[in-house]
Amino acid sequence: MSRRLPTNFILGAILVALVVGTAALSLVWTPHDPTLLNIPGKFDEPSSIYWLGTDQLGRDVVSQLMAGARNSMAVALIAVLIGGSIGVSLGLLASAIGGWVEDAVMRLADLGFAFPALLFAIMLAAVLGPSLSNAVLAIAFINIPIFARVARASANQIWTRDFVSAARAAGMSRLAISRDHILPNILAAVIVQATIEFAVAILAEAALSYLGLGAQPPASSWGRLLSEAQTLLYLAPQLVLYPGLCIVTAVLGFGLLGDGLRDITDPRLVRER
Amino acid sequence: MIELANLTASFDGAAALRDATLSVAPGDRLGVVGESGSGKTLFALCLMGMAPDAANLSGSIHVDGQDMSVASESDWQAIRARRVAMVFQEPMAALNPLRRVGVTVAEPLMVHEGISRQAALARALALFKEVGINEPEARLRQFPHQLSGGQRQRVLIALALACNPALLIADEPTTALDASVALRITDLLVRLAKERQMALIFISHDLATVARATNEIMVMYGGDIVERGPTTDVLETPIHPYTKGLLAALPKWLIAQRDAEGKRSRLATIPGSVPPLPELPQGCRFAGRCQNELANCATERPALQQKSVGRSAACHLLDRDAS
Amino acid sequence: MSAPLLQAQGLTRRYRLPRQSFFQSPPVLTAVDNATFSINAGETLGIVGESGSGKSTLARLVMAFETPDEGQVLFRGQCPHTVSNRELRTMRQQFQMVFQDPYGSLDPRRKIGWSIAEPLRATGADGDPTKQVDEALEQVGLHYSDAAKYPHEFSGGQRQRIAIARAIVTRPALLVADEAVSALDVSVQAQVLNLMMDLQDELGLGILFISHNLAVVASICDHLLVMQRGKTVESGAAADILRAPSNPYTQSLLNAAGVAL
Repeated sequence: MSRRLPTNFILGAILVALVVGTAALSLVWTPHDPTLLNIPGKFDEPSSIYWLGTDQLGRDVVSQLMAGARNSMAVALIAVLIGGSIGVSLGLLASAIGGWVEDAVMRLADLGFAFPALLFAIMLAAVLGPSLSNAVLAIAFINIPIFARVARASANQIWTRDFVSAARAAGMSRLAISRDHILPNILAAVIVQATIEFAVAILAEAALSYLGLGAQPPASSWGRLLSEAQTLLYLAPQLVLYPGLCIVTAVLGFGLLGDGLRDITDPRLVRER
Repeated sequence: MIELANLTASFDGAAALRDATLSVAPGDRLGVVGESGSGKTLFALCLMGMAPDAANLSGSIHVDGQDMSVASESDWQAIRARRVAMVFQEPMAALNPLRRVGVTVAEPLMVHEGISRQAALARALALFKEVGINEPEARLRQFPHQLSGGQRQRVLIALALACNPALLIADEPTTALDASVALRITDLLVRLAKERQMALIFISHDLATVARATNEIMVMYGGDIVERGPTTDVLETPIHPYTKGLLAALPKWLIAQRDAEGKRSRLATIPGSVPPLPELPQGCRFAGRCQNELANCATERPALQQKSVGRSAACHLLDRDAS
Repeated sequence: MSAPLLQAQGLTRRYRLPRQSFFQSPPVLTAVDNATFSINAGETLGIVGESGSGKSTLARLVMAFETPDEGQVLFRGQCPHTVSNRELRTMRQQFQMVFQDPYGSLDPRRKIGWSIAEPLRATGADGDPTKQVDEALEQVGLHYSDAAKYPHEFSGGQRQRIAIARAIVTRPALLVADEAVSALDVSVQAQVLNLMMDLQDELGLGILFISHNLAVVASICDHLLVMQRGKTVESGAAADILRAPSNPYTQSLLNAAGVAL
């Protein structure tokens, strides 16, 4: 069996590694303190000290981007993990029990889909106040129906397979079967979905922070950087470009990775015979 | 019209098909019998130029005198469907579920012969009648899922016959069908071969069906042709130990007799199992499982030799008995 | 003579098909119609039919994967369809199934030792199943070291042996074989059939053998049930039926299968 990895996977992996690596790096090192104000040095040109120059308050752009990466990644990761875990559990439950429970869960998922994500985030912010953690909650909430659907659809297919019937014949409970047989066999589809949802989550966080509902100063995020730079479009357009490019890179990277993973996992499962 | 000489197909140095030598003339009905790993499907694919890319081929194939060993894909495309056609095992998988079956059969006619859609559909109708599909006019417009298994297989046969090939290869055409339907499909193939003066290669693991459909039979094991001869002769008096073992292992119609102690007799079996490709013995492929194995069987490959008129087998025992 | 291991009386199962038109009530398909049979320990009952005969549905009813609309199944006097879920799971250790597809019946992501031990784990039996798994492997002609391998490392015939090992690990009284040898080569089929007969002698198993292949059924079944479109058209001792069938459908099956060899 030829082991050539698909190009989109490799490309995606490189981009994701870049972004995640930068975010991780920012935990221990940035060229400068991203919060350090340096008003006299505002709007500096890129130089050997400030590699991409400084922003309107003299803060190093590179450091800001790196710190922003950290928050964007963290929000995306945590939100998708939380939303994914709850969603997959619901999907497995729906598939295992079937009947009216399955219908109820799926209708709830439909409700979740129908509700505009941003509106929910705004509502949440209105009630709980804007913060990064509320952004996480909002994005996690939106992911629940997506994973519930994917998990349920994949799980339904696995339930029909003979080795699951054999487990039933052996006397295993539905819970045990879901845990031991269904979950491992749907993991491929779920992981693929998760990488795609990372991309979406990064965009969502950027949107929320742009609207002022996510990262609050001094916490930095790409969305917030975009938002701040918006008013300075004519003074320093590059300040809009940099965070924008970062978002594009991350979203593209995760998207490609997800696509590549899908290519890798699907044909293999078929070829397993 | 098709001649193979020492055709060998290897994967990573291990030969999955060894020195297949054969000639098929119009009107011949040859059965190819073997179990998993016998190389029979690979053999069929080679006849169509459809061997997997990973396969390393050597030896020669001549179709209508044309040397196909160095043929390109487009050379093969000219031959496929027009001179050599194939009917596959799974009718549902081989038909596009989104296309009406009439269109599926008409399409090769439009492509290969450049006739109009109307004319092609008229030919498809004629083919449907020839293969015995009931209510052919209505069926033309139906989708595969609306047909029964037997009817789908007839559609596949019609598709294969569309461009009047000289050789039809049927790879396990009846395996997915009920016994009674399988019988009718088998008889259909025989009738078509006779009426069209077409050569038929019938590949199957089901000896009963092969017996019914063919006048000559070829037994394969581990990529080698181990025995060949007239069908009834080979099945009644097999020469090669594998053929003997295979026939002995067939469930007999001896209804489950229990003896005085209430015990039932067991089926005869061939001990062991087919080794994976890289582990097949280099000599006789059946070495290691044979009841009458000689010292040189595992290392020296027996050639396919004639024992009597029209009957040949590849076995060292023949040499021993002859001398 | 002890009570039968398995008794089925008047089993009926119907399915409602989607409506064809708004004005008619949805058509009903009777997959199994009034099936009655019994199996004693140490005996083999064959269920024969073509596709659409209902034999697979019958298997699912006996295994309590589905509930009959009419009739009942008694396994050693107990009905698996009426007991609680928990009791059913314990009961299941007593009747096990071997499936047709050697490639689909084992979880590809689990070592076969884990899969074989699954019926033991099902009732929460603690303790190390290794001994029982090893024993089951030896009984089906495999080696105990095979327990650490994955399904894809084995051939079709070997996978069926593994499936059988899983089915006997709890020492069940009844084995349901649903087309268990249909996907195997002739020589492998013979080995697996012999294995089933050996296990029957060793463990006193009752076997419900479902197949479309009359020759196979003839070689290992004591009794026979012929099904056509859900109905039982003939039943009795295998020897009697196959030598002198009283029903034309059975005769047609024999004609189709018994080609001169």
